[in-house]
Amino acid sequence: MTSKHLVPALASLALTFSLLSASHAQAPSDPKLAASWAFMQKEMPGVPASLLEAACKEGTVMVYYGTWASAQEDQIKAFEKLFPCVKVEKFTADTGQRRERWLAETRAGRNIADIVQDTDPGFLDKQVKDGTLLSYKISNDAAFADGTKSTGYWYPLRAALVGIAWNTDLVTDAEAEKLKDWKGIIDPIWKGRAAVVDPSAGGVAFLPWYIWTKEFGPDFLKKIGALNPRVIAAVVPAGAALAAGDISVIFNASETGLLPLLAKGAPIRWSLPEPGIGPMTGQAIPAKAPHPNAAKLYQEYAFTVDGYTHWQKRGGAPARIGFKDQRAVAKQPWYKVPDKFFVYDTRDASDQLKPIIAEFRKNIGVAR
Amino acid sequence: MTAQNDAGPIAGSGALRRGLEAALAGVVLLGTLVLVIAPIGYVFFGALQSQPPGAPDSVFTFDNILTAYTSPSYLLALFNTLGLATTVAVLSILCGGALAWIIARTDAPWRRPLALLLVVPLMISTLVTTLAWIALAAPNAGFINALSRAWFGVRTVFDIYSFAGIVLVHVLHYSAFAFLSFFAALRSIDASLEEASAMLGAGPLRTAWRMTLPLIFPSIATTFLVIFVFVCENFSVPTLLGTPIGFQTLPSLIYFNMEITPAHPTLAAATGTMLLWVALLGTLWQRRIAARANRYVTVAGKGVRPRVTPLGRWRYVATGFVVLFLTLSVILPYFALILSSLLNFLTPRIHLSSLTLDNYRTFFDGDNFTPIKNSLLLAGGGGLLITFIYILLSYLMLRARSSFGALVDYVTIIPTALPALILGVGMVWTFVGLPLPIYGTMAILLIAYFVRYIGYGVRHANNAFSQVSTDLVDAARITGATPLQTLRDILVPLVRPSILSLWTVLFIFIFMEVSATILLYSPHTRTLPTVLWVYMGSGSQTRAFAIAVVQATLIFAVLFVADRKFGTLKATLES
Repeated sequence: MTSKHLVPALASLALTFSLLSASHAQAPSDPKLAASWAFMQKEMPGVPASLLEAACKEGTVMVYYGTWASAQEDQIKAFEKLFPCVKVEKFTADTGQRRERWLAETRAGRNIADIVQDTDPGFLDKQVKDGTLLSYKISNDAAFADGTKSTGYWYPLRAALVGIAWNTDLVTDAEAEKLKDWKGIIDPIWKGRAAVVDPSAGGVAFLPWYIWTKEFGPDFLKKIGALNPRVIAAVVPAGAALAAGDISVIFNASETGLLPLLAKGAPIRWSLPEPGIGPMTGQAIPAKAPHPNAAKLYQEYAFTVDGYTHWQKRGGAPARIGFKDQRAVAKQPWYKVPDKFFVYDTRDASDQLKPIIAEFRKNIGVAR
Repeated sequence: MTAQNDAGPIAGSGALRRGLEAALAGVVLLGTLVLVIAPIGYVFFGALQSQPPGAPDSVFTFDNILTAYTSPSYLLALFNTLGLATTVAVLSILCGGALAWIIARTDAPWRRPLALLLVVPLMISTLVTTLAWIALAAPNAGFINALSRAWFGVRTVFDIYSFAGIVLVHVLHYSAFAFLSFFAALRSIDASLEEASAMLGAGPLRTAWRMTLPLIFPSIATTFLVIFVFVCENFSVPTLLGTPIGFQTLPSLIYFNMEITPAHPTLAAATGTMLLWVALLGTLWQRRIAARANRYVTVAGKGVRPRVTPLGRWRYVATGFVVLFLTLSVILPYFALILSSLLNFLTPRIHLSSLTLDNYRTFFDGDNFTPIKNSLLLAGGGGLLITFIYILLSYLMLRARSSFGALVDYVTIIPTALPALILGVGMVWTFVGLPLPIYGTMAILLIAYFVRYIGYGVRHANNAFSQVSTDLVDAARITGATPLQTLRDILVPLVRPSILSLWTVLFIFIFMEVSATILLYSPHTRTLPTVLWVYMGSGSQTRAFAIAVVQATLIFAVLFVADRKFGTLKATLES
């Protein structure tokens, strides 16, 4: 291209860019959307008004979420208040059931979900690879560190922290000191007093077994087995048994199961030893979401400071950079989020599932 | 000659009428087969795939079948499942039989009001009952063990995390079910038969063994089979109570295969198929007994007078047994449930100040009118529709002289034996791809319930028809009635109590169903158990208990009103 042609080309490019920029900053024509637009300009920089208008035209967004109903409902209420033109519809179930239903719908081409959530980053990464998630980079992308997200696909709602929990009526402060370190769980004082969640339950129930084996070697499971811990089928009944005082300690407790109990006054505490265990719970838009604009608007909102605050208050530890933990537990003097987290390969964790469960069965209890 | 042999030859006179009725029968039977076989077929298809049906990288494989059918852990789980189901079925039949005999055939005091209470254990799901029993008898913090420790210094009276605990929770639930089946059967035996036996010199035990037992044997066989398959497919009781003692059943393995990452729904499907063969063998046995149905005919167009056995001083012991059963199956778990629903979290350390109505307030403040309305609609109206289809189906099967009727009989037991988690997955796989506007509607839930309970419903209806003498059918047909007229004008009025009883049980079952619903509901078809399930999963156990109390209260209220209007509970006891 000669310079004679280059100048007009550049000029027209600049004009197009400026027109586009103007249209991005342009307010929506409907005055009813003024408040929504004001919020977007403040918290979703660069998101065009056309997205809001298109989302309002679609009018609905369907969110498939997990067993964190209170956090999700808080966020949905806040979203609907800010964006009254979009009604949120909800479907909630356990991870396994929710996932299988969404996948079956996707495979059959019956696209219902606009927003999907999952507790396993490995699963979400596989969906990225399989092309079932929409590529959409949110305006707050930079607020989430690499390794906690899959840029343009899924973003973290929380880190689902795993720790060691105890009943404060049954464990003395001196005994609890031992629980600040993962290795403290193999102390003989826990013999006959402790419980573990069956790794076959998957997710946060499995990860500690994987990480203990990696960090402390296979003998660690034998040492746990020597303490004769009670095996509990899932994290929720384990938390209930701890709060009731039926067991003194849980070696692999999910914080999200403990938070509602603590909020209701249960005599429990927990430590989050290093290396921390905290897989991300991610949120994404399906590739063929039936309301793609409403889905993008919801995805945008969920990761703004406002949206994140509403979810995080009752949802779990924040994964957003520089975000102040809004939960009541964060104000407790005994509560400390680990500085270092265990970094692992999700594929390797999946590969190790069978051998670790076999070891668990051999040394501790029955498993799959 | 059996009922099915008799009903056929005396066909209506008009060839056209016969043709139309045959066509209708064909449509109903074929429709049923399609609805039942399609999800089962998908489960089998899925079991032979490396990935769920429709996945792009899925290939045909025997790996899942080989793993499920040959791995020691799966075979042990199968053995555990069968052992548990047999133990529970036998004990439930003994316990339910004893209760039915006391209420129906003795002069034990207060038996009438106690009889109505015996339906109550069925009004809470086994999941909630299990959690209530954990609150009662967890080894260190259960209310019973905490009290026994405080008052008597006994550390643990009963540990619910045991095989005995698993059996107890099941037996308390299914004894009530067995009671319902046997009460009606015992009431319908004409006293003159037993009196004749006594006049011929047989003692009470010999009469019971040689006369009463054979008369109610079809009921025993059906009830045994139904309880057996219900226990085989139950996952909540053995998973929650069995995991701490290393006791795993097939439904527990299925649950873990669905929850683990990566999930193995196809292995779960292969595991689910293992129970089908057992259910089919059970059906073969039950059909052999039913084939001799004419031995058990007791409704012959004339009234019967059941024989009452005077118990003398033992009558108070008999009432004591019923009261003990009600204490364990109703009073204790409901006490635990209601008390726990008034707490913020489960604890044996209860003070007056720890009691709160917050769980109820949260429930009624929330958007829970739709789930209540949907549950009432599905269980009430949907249950009625399904009841009539089961009755029609049973009648058609009894009339069918061909092996088609037998085929339907075998096919209908399969979905009831298939663990509900897998049936739900099979339903999703089947209906999600169909170009019919039913996915996500009430219709798909109704289909799921119809399929899930068909094994029980059709057998219940079969039992009712097997007690009706073919003389009555013959008389109707000789006067020119068509088979459908005979059904409408003769059989339905005669088995009306059975129909009401079937609706009552289906109402309770559907009102509490969650395993298949959770996979198939949409925001507009949420039901009360799905709300309960979500609270349970998010760690708000006492809030879930509050919903269970609301649920049981609603079931009781509806059944009370239905009883006042139509005599449903009375019919349930006397059908």
